[in-house]
Amino acid sequence: MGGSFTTDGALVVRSWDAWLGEVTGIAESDACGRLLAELFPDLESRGLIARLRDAADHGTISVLAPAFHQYFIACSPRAASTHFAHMQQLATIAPCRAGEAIAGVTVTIEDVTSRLDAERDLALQLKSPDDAVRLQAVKQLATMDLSAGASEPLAGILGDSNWRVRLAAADGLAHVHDGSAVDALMAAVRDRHRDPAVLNAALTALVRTDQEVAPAVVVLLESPDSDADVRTYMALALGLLEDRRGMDVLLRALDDVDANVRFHAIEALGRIRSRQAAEPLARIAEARDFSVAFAALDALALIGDPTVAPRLVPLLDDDLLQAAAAEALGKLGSEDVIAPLAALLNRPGAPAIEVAEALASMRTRFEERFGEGALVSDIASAVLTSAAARNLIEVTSSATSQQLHGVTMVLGWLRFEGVDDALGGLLMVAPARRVAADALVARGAAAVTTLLGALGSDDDETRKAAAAALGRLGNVSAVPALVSLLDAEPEVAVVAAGALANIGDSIAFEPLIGHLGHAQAAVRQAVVGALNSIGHADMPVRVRELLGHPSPRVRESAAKIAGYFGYQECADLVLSLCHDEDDAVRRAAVEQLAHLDDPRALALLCDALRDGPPGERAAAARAFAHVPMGVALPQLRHACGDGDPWVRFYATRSIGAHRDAGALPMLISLARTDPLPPVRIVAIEALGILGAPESVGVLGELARDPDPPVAVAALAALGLARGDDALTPLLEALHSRDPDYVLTAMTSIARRGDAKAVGPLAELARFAGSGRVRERALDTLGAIGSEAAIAAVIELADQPRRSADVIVALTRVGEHQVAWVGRGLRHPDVEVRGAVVEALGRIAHGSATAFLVSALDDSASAVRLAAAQALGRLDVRGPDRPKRVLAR
Amino acid sequence: MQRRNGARAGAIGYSADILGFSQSAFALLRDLIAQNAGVYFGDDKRDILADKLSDLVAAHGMSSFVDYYYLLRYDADADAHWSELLDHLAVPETFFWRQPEQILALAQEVAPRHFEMHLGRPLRIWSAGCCTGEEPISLAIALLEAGLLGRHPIEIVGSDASPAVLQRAREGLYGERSFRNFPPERRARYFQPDADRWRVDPQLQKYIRWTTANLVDEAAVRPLASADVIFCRNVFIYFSDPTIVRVARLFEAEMPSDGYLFLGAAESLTRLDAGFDLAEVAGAFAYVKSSTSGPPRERAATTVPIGPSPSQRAST
Repeated sequence: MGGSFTTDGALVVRSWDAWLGEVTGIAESDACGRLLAELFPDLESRGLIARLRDAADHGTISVLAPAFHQYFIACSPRAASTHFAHMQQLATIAPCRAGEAIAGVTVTIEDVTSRLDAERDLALQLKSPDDAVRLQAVKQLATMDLSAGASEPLAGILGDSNWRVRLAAADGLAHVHDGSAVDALMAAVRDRHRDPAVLNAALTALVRTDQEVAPAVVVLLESPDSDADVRTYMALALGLLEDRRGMDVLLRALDDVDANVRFHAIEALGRIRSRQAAEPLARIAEARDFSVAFAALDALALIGDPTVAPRLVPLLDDDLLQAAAAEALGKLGSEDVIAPLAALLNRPGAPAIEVAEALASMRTRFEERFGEGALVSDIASAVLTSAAARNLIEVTSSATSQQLHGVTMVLGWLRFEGVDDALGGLLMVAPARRVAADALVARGAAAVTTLLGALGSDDDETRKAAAAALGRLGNVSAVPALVSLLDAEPEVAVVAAGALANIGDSIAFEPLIGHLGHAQAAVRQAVVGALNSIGHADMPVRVRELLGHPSPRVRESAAKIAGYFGYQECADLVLSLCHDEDDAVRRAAVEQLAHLDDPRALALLCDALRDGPPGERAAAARAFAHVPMGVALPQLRHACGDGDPWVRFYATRSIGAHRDAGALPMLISLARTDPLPPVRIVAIEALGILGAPESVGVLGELARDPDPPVAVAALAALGLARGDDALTPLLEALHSRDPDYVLTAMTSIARRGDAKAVGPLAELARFAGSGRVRERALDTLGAIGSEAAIAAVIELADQPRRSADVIVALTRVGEHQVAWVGRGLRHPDVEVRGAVVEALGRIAHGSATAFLVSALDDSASAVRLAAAQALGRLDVRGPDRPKRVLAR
Repeated sequence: MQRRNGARAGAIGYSADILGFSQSAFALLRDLIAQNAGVYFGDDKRDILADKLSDLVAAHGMSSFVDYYYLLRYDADADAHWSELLDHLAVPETFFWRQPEQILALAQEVAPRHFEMHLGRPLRIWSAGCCTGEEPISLAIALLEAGLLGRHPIEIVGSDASPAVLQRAREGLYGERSFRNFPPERRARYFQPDADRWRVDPQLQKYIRWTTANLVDEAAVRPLASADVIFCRNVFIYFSDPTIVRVARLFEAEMPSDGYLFLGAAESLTRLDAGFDLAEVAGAFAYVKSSTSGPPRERAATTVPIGPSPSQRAST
């Protein structure tokens, strides 16, 4: 609520609104034409006339905050106030312009009395002895559009005895929209940091606020007035802020006289992850001062700059630091460090868990980023000896479940006595199970005995893992044991049947037949699948018998097998099962009609689609996907008008399977109007598969559908549609608040390779609130791969945390894109150039080498070193690269 | 007609691998199930979810998990499909006298104090997620042995989201595994042999009301949550943090200010802002409404709609 007035250049009132008339009691006619100083003489003594003159003469705009001025025009509050005799006003004085000249002054006044009353009331409640009252007050303060003065009471309660109150106060301060909160928080850290409650809450708020914090923190870190504690907490805060602007001051803090400050500076540099810090941190690690060396190694692991890895290798000989060094090397090392790491594992008393985790971490990193995981295991297993196997086996009993993953992975690379048994044992340990199974499968027939032993475990998960592994091995000797599992728990029986399907041996034929009537549908389906896979010579005869079996489950299963193979000798029986007394049998029989080479089958299928009960009509609609298009489409079009939604669903899906452009109008109509969303979704999917330009308009419209799955399906279909118009709704979806919409739109854009999307994607890659969206945007830019897209990817490397993803995206470029990557070497930011060099070193095209050579002349030594190391690695690349690496 | 010829044509079964439980299908079903049933399957539980759903997918004659998602989300008969799914998701793994210190805390401390403070007012106990009923029966036994059941108005409700496991609770027949922490002499006192199992004494079972309730269904939970004591043990371990907070907040809103919430040993609300504080009651841990969770709330005037209490029934 408020009002305004204007004056001329001499500060004579020229306009006076009704609100001012009401609150001052001075009518417009009495105010206009009089000097403002005559109307309100106190303005002169309070220095406000000078402010008005400043606006009239120089065009200066002033905002008079109630915290300092209380009011512009003295008048009573409009409603009774607990705290104020005068109405509290927020006033803005601004010049009133006539073209280029200043004709006078405009003053707008806002009545903020009730808001300040509420803030004062709440500030009083913050002093209540009752926890609930204080918490309520803090929460209310935090949700208000807080005035600058409110930061003070919130900061005052940061040391509250109740943690919920402290947390709410920190939240409130983080959401104050001006610098006063940062000032209050900095003051709290500076003056009250000995109270851990205040310190924690203040640091929490500093990290959460969207106000500019880093410059104030930098100043306090370097202030001569800051004691060691304050400097320590400022270093900590800079790390929590992850702000690169803190780099220089943190690097200087590495030489601070206080050990705590140095320690926290190291940690902060690790959190910021800038490559700039790698060299000084490596120097600290090399000095082997245990009070900071561990922190330096941890920080280096976070930064992930491989250029410093060779300098850490000697630390593997240091009894105290070797485990931490191994861990760091696992996170940042290139292939050069694999052999020394593996050699450490051969030594008696080696930190086996840490080294195994480091090697496993390297393998995973190389596989995920460069598809070269095998390089790590190949080099390591050439170095590892039986001593390493013994060391690893010994720690399997003491490793935590998290550590067992790495230990098991490395153990799987080894072929020494005792390893098979150890892997068999690890199959029973949940976190190691998958890796152990993969390792055993990789050993081939040698692992069969171990796996057969694991089938006898009491634990279902172990039995499932062993059964699946035996299936992958395809070893016939496992068949009897797997057959016996068909009577185990259904989940185990399903896996056993799947394994028998993979092996495909006829010994399993009769036992599988015996389980066609299993009570669990999933088991029956798996058994049917296994029998289909075996394809025994006796199958037609046996199936013919089973089609007349008293058990409806057996008849249903037999019908599915008969249909799968299209057994002509079973046609009569399958046709008769279409009239079976059991619903499931009829549905199964109807669905198989499409696979029978019999004219009666088609007629029956048409009848079932038109006249059967809903379940049979749906089964017939599914079956028509396998009937020649000319015959199927008229039937399916009719079924799209069926009263049962699931018949329409399957009919629409079958139409889509036929990919008939003639169905376009019907699919558009279904996508737009069907009452059941899944029908609309399958129609949309079918439109996507057809990719017709005519469907782009309707898909764009459906991308704004209120039902999210429908809209997401439309966005996905737009990725397949031909025509430039498809991009508009996709770009629109990039602004959605729902990450699913944004992610789907990006997948579609990537599929289309649409270069026009680079701008919005670059923005999302940098600023999106969701980490998944930022990552996918970067990937999508890489997938588009235009010159502008590559440039946008390179730009993102200025964020150290994104460096690894940028490098991965850049290493996937084709030959013609290498030059665009090379342009990144001219980037002014050394962080970016470092990432580009690392990417060029991993690009599998020869043209990258010339760029690496040019980087040897870079102005930054870190970039030159990275280029030299990359060229060194390329030197040993080639078809026999691993062998040459091993030969060194 | 299209015909597949010969053996080993590629179709090998309908396990999750074969049906293709894609990441997107998993995410759709995971989120829908978390929203409607509270149970959250993280990425490490993907195989478990696939195992639990495979049979339902196959039983519906479907070839895709996404089709099953559509059925749950859009079918006119979705309620029946959800009941069927909840039966499959149920983990019927419980036993009598589990974490007995909490059971004894109820019988020896909470219940006597209640009758001392609120003379004549029924003590309402809700066993939320009671599975096959071992917990509410254990509570009834403890209260009986403390001389309270039958002498004071006590209402015990056992609820579960799965109609199938609740049916087993109503039947009151238990196998050996249910008695693994239960002294044989107690079993002889309250159970009768029935073939290879044991049937709970009908006199004991009549003190318990059984009802289906999904803990994320606010309408179903609200009337039950006004109980004086809620046992909700080994349920939150299957929920995501936001769902735990949502359910606990609902309990907190409805419970009387002196109510008690008992959780399982592996469950904790202390790291969540759920409106409860941890307290020790007769050597057992329980949660009480937090002193900072707002002004104390008067007991709701309406009673839990579970029918008359045993004592009331006896007098009618």
